[in-house]
Parts: sequence; C-alpha cells; structure tokens
Amino acid sequence: MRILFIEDDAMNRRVVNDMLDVAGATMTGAESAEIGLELINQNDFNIVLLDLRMPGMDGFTALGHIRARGDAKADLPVIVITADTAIDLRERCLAAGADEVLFKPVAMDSLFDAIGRMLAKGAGEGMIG
Amino acid sequence: MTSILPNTRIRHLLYMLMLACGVLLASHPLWAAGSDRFDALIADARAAMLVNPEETIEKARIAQQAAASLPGNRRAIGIATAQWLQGEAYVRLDDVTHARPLIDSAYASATAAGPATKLTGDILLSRGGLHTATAQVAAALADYQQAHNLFRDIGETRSRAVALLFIALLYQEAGDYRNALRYYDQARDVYSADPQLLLSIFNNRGNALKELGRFREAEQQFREAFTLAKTLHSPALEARVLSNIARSELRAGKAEAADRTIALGFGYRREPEAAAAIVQFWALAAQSALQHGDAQRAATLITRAFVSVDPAQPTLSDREAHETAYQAFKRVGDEKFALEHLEALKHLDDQTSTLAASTNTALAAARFDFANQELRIAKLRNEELARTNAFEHARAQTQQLIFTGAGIVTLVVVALLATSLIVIRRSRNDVWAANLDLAETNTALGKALAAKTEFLATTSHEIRTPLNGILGMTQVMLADQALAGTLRDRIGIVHSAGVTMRALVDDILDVAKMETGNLSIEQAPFDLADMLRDVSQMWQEQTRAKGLVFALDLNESPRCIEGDVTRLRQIVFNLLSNAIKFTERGTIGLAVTTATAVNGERVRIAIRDSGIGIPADKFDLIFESFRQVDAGTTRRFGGTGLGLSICRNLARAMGGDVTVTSVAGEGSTFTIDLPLVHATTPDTVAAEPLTQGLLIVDRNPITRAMLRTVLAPHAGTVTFASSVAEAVARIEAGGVAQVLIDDATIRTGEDVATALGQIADSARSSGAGSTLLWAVPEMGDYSRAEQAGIDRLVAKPVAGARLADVMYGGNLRDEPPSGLVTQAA
Repeated sequence: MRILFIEDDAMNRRVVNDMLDVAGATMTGAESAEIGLELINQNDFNIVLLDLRMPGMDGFTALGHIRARGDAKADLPVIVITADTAIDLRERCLAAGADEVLFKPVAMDSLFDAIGRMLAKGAGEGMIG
Repeated sequence: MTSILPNTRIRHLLYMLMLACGVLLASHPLWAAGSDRFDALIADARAAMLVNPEETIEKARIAQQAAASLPGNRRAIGIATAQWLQGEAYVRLDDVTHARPLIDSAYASATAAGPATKLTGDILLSRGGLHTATAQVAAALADYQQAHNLFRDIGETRSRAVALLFIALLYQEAGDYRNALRYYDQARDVYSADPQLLLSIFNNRGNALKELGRFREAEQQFREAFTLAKTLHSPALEARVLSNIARSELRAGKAEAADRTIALGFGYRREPEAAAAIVQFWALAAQSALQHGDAQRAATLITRAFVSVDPAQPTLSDREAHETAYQAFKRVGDEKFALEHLEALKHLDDQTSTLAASTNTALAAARFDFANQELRIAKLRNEELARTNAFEHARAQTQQLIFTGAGIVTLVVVALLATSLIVIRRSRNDVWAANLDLAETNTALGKALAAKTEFLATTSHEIRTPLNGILGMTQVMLADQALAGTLRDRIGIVHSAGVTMRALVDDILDVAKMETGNLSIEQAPFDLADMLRDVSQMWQEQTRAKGLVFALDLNESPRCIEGDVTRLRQIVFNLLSNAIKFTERGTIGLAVTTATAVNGERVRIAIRDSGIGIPADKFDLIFESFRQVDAGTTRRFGGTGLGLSICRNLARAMGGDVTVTSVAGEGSTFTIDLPLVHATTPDTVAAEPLTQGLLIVDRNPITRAMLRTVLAPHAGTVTFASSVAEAVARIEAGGVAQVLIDDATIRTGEDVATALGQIADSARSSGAGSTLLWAVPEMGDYSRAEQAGIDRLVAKPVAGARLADVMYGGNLRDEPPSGLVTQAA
C-alpha cells in the first residue's frame, strides 16, 4: 500500500505518517503540490491524501491537474484532509474530483476507514493484500 | 551586569502611560472649587502625583477623612475622588495589591452617587492602567472603551482623546502599529488644543511609524513633538523626544545626523529630570559607535549606559541597549558579557512574544466582545428607529388625510394647507433622516456581524491545526499495544483533554454558523426512544460515579418521528451534561411527553436535576452566548457557556425551543419542545437472519475497512476479531455464518497449523464456512491449511470483487495465482 500525502506542514505530515505506520502502510510526503505532482509522475501510488491550503499551488488546483491526466493515474483515489470548515466545502471538494473529505483533527479510525474504502473500490478492482 | 526588571515591557508601557496621565491630571477641572479644606488637600495630593506618589497617598488619605464631613452627595463623590487618587498613585508605584481595592471602591462610590461624570471616566482610565499593569489586556481595553464612550456622552472631548490615546498605546504594545496609528489619529481629531496631549500623540505616532520603517514620517512627528516640548519648557520631555529622534535616525542609517542629535541630547545632562533620557543617549552613542565600526568605544559607552541605570526607574528600549551591548562585546571578544546580554535579549523577546501573542489574542477577543456589545446596541437602536419610522410615516399620512378631507372655509383651508405642508415636509425629512440612520446602522450591523463571524471561523480554524497534532499523536500512541500502564494513563488524559478542546472548537463554530444563518437542519425519520436511550447510556457511568440516580421515562415517547437526529442528540447530550455537572446529589431525570398545543402536536423532552438551580432573573441570561449564571459558576464548574445558546438556537431552527424552570438551590428542569411529525416506521435495520453474519479475523485497520467495503453488501453484519482466541469466542457466541481469516494475523501467534485448526474446528461445529486469505507462500503451508479443515483458500493479492465472488458466489476454492503484483502492505 503506497500512500502519497501532499501537505506543506511538516507536523501534519508526521502525524499522518505515524498513523499509517500503525496500519503498516508506507507514506511518502510531498511538501508542495508541485513536488507531489512530480512524485505521482515518477511513482505508482495507490492513494493520494491532499491538503487544501498550501503556499504556491493549492489543493484544488493540484486535484485538477491529477484529474486532467490522460492516463490511468487520473483516477487515483484522492482524500482531502483539511482544517477548513466552510459550509459547502465538502460539496466543493467532491465536485472538484475528490473521493472523500476528512476534517482535521483527523480521527485515526476515520482515516483508516476512508483509505480502506477507497482502496477497495479502486477502479472496481481494488486489490486486497 | 544589570538586573533584568520583571515585566519590563509592561513597565515600559506604564511609563508611557504615566507621561500621558501626567497630562491628564495636569488640567483635571476641580469641581466646585472653593476654599474648602478638602479641595485644598485634593489639590495637594494631585500635585504630588508626578514626582512623589507616596506623598499623594498620604495626602489623599487625609483628604478622604476630611471628606467624611462634607455635606450630602458631595461626601460620596469626595470619598471616591480621594480613593481614586490613592489607587492611581499605587498603580504608579506598581503596587497592584493596594491599588485594586481602592479603585474598585472608588468606582462603586462614583457610579452609585449619580449619573456618569468625568470622575467615573477617570476612575475607569485608572482601572485600565491597573489591568495593563497586570497584563490583563482585554480588561484594560474594555475599561478604556467604556471610559471613551462615557466621555463622549458627557461631552468631555479632551478626556475622550486621552482614552483613545491609551487604547492606541495598547495596540502599539501589542505590535499592531497600524491600529495604533488609527487611534492616534482619532485622538488628535477629537481634541488637539492641549499641547501636552498633542506632544504625547506626536511622540507615540513617531514610535509607531518608526517600527513600521517609515523613518522620514517618524522624524517629522518627533520634530513636532520636540517643538511642543520646547513651548512647554520641559527639558525632560525635550530630551526624551531627542532620544527618539536619534534612535530613528540610527535605524534609518543616517549616522551623522544621529551623532549630532546625540550630542544635543548630552547637552541636557545637567538637568536632573532628564536623567533617564541621558542613559538612553549613552546607549545610542554606543550604537552609533558600533555603526562606525568602533567596537571598543561602543563597549565602553554601553558599559556607562548600564552602570547609570537606576533600577527603580524603568528604562525605555531595553532591547536595543542589550542588542548593542551584545554586538559590542562580541566584537571586542568579551564573551562573558556578550553572553549575558544575549540572554537578556532572549528573555525580553520571550516576554514580548508572549505578551504580544496574548495581547493580540486578548485584543482580538476584546474587539470581538466590543463588536458583540455594539451589535446588541445597534439591534436595539434598529428597532427603535424602525418604530420611529413607522410612527412618522403614519403621522405624515394623517396629515395628508386632513389636508385632502378638510375645506369648509377657504381661509381655514388655506391655513390648514400651509401648516400641513410644513409639517409633512418636516416629517418627510425626519423620516428620510431616520431611514439614512437605519441604513447606516444596518451597514454597521452587517460589518460587525461579518467581523465576528470571521473571527470565530478563523479562531476555530487556527486551533484545529495544532489539535490535529495533539489528537493525532495521542491516537497513534494509544494504538501501541506495548504502551504500559502509567504512561498509557497519562497519554489518555492528554487525549481526553484534546477531545474536549475539539468539542469546544466545534461549539464555537456552531455558534458562528448560527449567528450568520448558515445552519442546515435535516429532516429524516429516526427512532426517538432509541436515540434517547443511547444518549442516556453515555452518561450512565458518570451519573453512577457521582452517586446520582438516573431516571429514564420513555413510556409516552413516540417511536418514529421526523427530524434531525444528530442535532437533537447534540441538544440532549448537552443538557444532560449540564444536569450532571451542576448536581451533587439526588436524581437526574429524562422524560418524554406529547401534547397538543396551539401550534400543533408537540413532543417534549424534559431533563430535570436536583442541583444548584438557577435564579429566576437569570432564566434568559443563561441562554446567551458565552454567559453563565455568574463568574463564580465559571470558576467552580468550568465551561464556556456556549452549550445552552447552541441548544436554544438549534431547537428554534427546528421549529421549537428550549426553556427552563428552576428553583435556586433545589434544581432545574430544561424542556425541549419540538413539533411532532410522525414518520412511517422505517424498515427496522434489516435484522438479517443471523446465519448471514461474517466474522473477519484481521488486525490491520486498513484491510479491515477494505474487506468490509467489499463484503458487507453480501454478508449481513460484519464483525471483527484480532486474535485466534477472540475469533473462537465470537464464533461460539453464535450468529456467525462465515469466517474470513487473514493469515498475517494468524502468523504472528502460535503455530499456524494449530491456530487454523482451532478456528476451523470452531467454525465447523457452529455450521459456519471458513475462508483463508494467504500470501503466496511455500507450498507447505498450503496443504497444512487444507489439513486443518479450512473450507476455502484464496491467495493474496486478490481483487475485491473476486473475493466476494469466491465467498458468496458458490466457488469452493481458488488456485494460487502466479505472477501477480507482490504484496503492497
């Protein structure tokens, strides 16, 4: 299970990294959307976790770039993790192409649950194991 | 070398305030001036304030005794004045303990003696100074604002300007220079006829501009201040302003100009009052020497500066002096002294950042509170204006009626016409003016509301991020099985505290949403009795722990109704929490009733307790945001006071309300009243025939979620087990039709074959089928699994759809596939 987390704050990256450790998953961190997109180019991830507010390219734009790809990676499951609590934020994220939205502070169980669900549904052929 | 003065920054602020206050006192009008002994004593006391506050205290105390023999209401005011002077003097002596009761007493007497007077305002300013000295910035700001409004209302423009100046100084101290400048400008706009006040404004504006890097403008301000100082013939002030000019010039890199100014400054050294400023010039000279590259000279000069510091007098700009000293000693190679000053710098910076941070938060909070109050006042004014509007409108109409209906005698008609026209025009103008006012108030209301919401949203957002760190890591730590007893307890406490904080943040956000009308209420069928039972369950343990009795009465409760179950649960949870919190002994009761009222059928949930109760005059107050019955309650029981406000707003949004009845000391009953809308009984969560239950033996939370997603549509209920023992126990408990085992979980235990055997046996004897998910392994394991009696074997990795098919689609076995993607986990 290879998980990419695009998030500029080092503390948040560390938290998610340690959480995923508990579940035996490896996480690659990207401190900017630009770096994240490049990593997606060069590697095969199963799922992408995405922060919204970042200096430089923000989450929405990055999400757009992913979905606009011409290859299979355009359908990568993307879970948005954000501290924003605007009223219609969830709808906007889903409309922009995210598969799921989690709000900080993130409950570990919710994170695992969301990842598990996304992976199982992945392109209809979610590989278990 | 030098002792670091405690709370240096605060003292710094106070010193600046004192200067402005000296301005304040200098022309405080004596009321009813006469040759009374009392007046003379007060005048004496006042005169001593700037130079010798102790003398002020003495004289004011005597004056207070003299006040006892004053006639009528002059007595109360006299005592208040004397107490105020003593309090102010103690503040200047930094003696908060003595100052506080005197100022509080003065305030009480002054407000009791009659309508607001200048004295009351002055006392408020002193109280603000007291709060500043104890770093209670929000309280200080509140006092200054109150004083400002008071002075404005009674037309004391000069004092009003002073209040604005004090507010500006607070912002300056918090590092918010833009706002500080705003307030300086306001102060000047309000009153610019007093040279001393003006001097203070110019001087401080200069400082603010200097901090913003606008050196040219800063110097301009300082020069104006200097001119004023000269007209006031005050060498002390002149010297101080000069030091500011020099400082600004040095910052701007104008070395020669600075040197000239410093030389001018030293010219004041014979003046006794300018002693404090002279110290600054030594430090500035040292700074200049450093800029010229002469570190040795700088070291000598700065030593001189620190040596001549009078510890009793707070020095200004300690930071720059320490910075200069550090640089000088470092370059000269004197490590020891350099380090001392570096440590002093750090200490100061720490203080400043905490003060600035807390000041900023406190100011933001205070601003918000201020806006809140303004909002309420504006709302009331709005209503007032609307009423006036309506009245004027009606009057204008009546005039018109008379105008059109009358007409017996031409002269009378003409006369009536004339007067009517005038009156109508006047009314119309009044209405027009009232409408303008209304529009203005609305805009102000809108702005205040927006600011408040933005503040609330920003705050809660900012808090969520660090909370993510706290709760994230505590969860990770608690998930570690190896975590031992005491450590686990401690981390558990941190985690709970984090959870409480998150609940608070969510509450604040709810309040923000409600106040801007952004709340959405669902309407869906749910089982009321079930929900209430659930919520009560959550509080059972705590109730028992406190020795209370919990009485749940759901006999009359309707089962299925329409509404927002989440929000209703939130209200009930909140009310129960309060009930238990405020009750030490007795009973907590939750009862449901239905009734038919004028607004239709209603369902009522009553939560009663036998706790401390609520006084009748506070019934409405407690539902306001951020309110509790009194400050004492907050101290005893904690909480933000948001809960009830949210409960009521939610209930009202649902078409109902939350009300309270109570007898203080005996208990309270909170009642949620909601419209009763019966729902068609939903298909009770399909109690799938138990034979369909699936047990998944897997420890990994992510794969658990994956497996559940894939298999839940086929199986009925899905349960989990983390070990062989747990699995066997669950199977024996019954209701399991299929068992899915992940080999990773099995492998970490005892011998694989034995483990599999145990589960397989247990499954078979309960009539359940078993499936093993295993990694492409050595053949050995494969056959052992068969021997153990597992029904189906599926090799990992496998597509979810395929697994579902294998388990529920009738296939008996899957061959170990070859050459697939290696395990990902």
